[in-house]
Amino acid sequence: MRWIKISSVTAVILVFFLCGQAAGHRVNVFAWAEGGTVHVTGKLADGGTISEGSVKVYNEKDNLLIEGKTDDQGEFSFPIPEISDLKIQISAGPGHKGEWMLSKDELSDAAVRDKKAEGSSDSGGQKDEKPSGSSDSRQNNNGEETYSSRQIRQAVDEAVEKALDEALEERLDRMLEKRLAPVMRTLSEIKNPGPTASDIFGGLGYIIGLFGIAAYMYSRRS
Amino acid sequence: MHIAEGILSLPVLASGGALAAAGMAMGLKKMNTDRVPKTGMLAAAFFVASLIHVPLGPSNVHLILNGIVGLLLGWSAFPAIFVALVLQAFFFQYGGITTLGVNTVLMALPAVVCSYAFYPLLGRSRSAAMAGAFGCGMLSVLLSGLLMAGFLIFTGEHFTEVSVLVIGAHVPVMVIEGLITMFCIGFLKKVQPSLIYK
Repeated sequence: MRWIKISSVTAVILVFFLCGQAAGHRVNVFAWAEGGTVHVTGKLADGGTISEGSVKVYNEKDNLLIEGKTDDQGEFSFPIPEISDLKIQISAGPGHKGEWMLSKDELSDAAVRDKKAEGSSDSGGQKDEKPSGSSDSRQNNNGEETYSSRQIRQAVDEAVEKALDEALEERLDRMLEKRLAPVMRTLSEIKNPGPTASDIFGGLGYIIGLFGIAAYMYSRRS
Repeated sequence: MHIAEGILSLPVLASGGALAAAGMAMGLKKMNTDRVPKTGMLAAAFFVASLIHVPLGPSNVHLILNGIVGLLLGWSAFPAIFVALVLQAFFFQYGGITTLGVNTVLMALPAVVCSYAFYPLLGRSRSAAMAGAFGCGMLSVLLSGLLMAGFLIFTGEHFTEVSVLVIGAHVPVMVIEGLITMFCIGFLKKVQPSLIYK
């Protein structure tokens, strides 16, 4: 019998060592858009990562848009497929599933900004053209001399200021997104911490209390 | 081995709930003053056992201990497991509130079946009792896996595929639970035989 005891004790100890990242059953999905891509992370109820979990992305009409698998960190990214309310589903084996809705507004914001970012070089080109355009008009109207040089300077200043503002806003937006990404990531981790000691002892307390009440009832009955 | 919320359809959830209610009624009928503390104790053990994990594949599996709960409680395994599952759902977010019935049946029914199958062995020679305890711990997990696959059929999954997946994932748990059940029964037989015998 001795070997049985030894082997079972080792088995239990082994399990404790193996457990590492504890995990649960509900899959917590968290997704956010950054630029033109959507980042998804999947976590098990107590913070364990889901590697190789299958990811499915549906649009409003429940059509499957994208399918994939999470990486070792339990993350998955995909380019925004279309502007609609996206339902992102992660499943980790039978009976383990979770989903996250990414609203259209969040997506369109990110996508529009991304498009702007793509077109920013074009708008920069336009900005260069503008003054030359106005100088054209000045040449055309040279005889009439409707615009004073001060007015022209003012118009140019305004245009430049506006373009600068836009560029600055875009850059700030992009920078903020970049800076906020780790915050979002941390948020996704904090959102559902695993069972804490207070959860465990609280549960045990409930069990003692409930069965104490039951024992009292049964003892009164008999 | 819990089924999370939002996977099963309403009829499956309802029939699971009805089965669990029937089991609960049976368990409460068999309950008496002496059995209440034992039931509470095993409910607590079942509640905490789920925190011991074995990482495997995309998710991981944890101890269930329904074998030993069934062996020591018989039909009272239903109320014990139900209470533990309610608290697991609230505190750990394992399973869910709507799937309580299904999950109770999933784990308590194999416990009861195995207790009927293996209980007679416990009164015999020591080696027979040990073998019975190991078999009970192992088989109850196996049956739970089969039941889970059975419930998941209704979601359009294939029975054999899911059962192979679930049971395959639980092979280490089966062995460990067999050992734990064997160890516990061996220990109780020596120090507190009155806990085993009903």
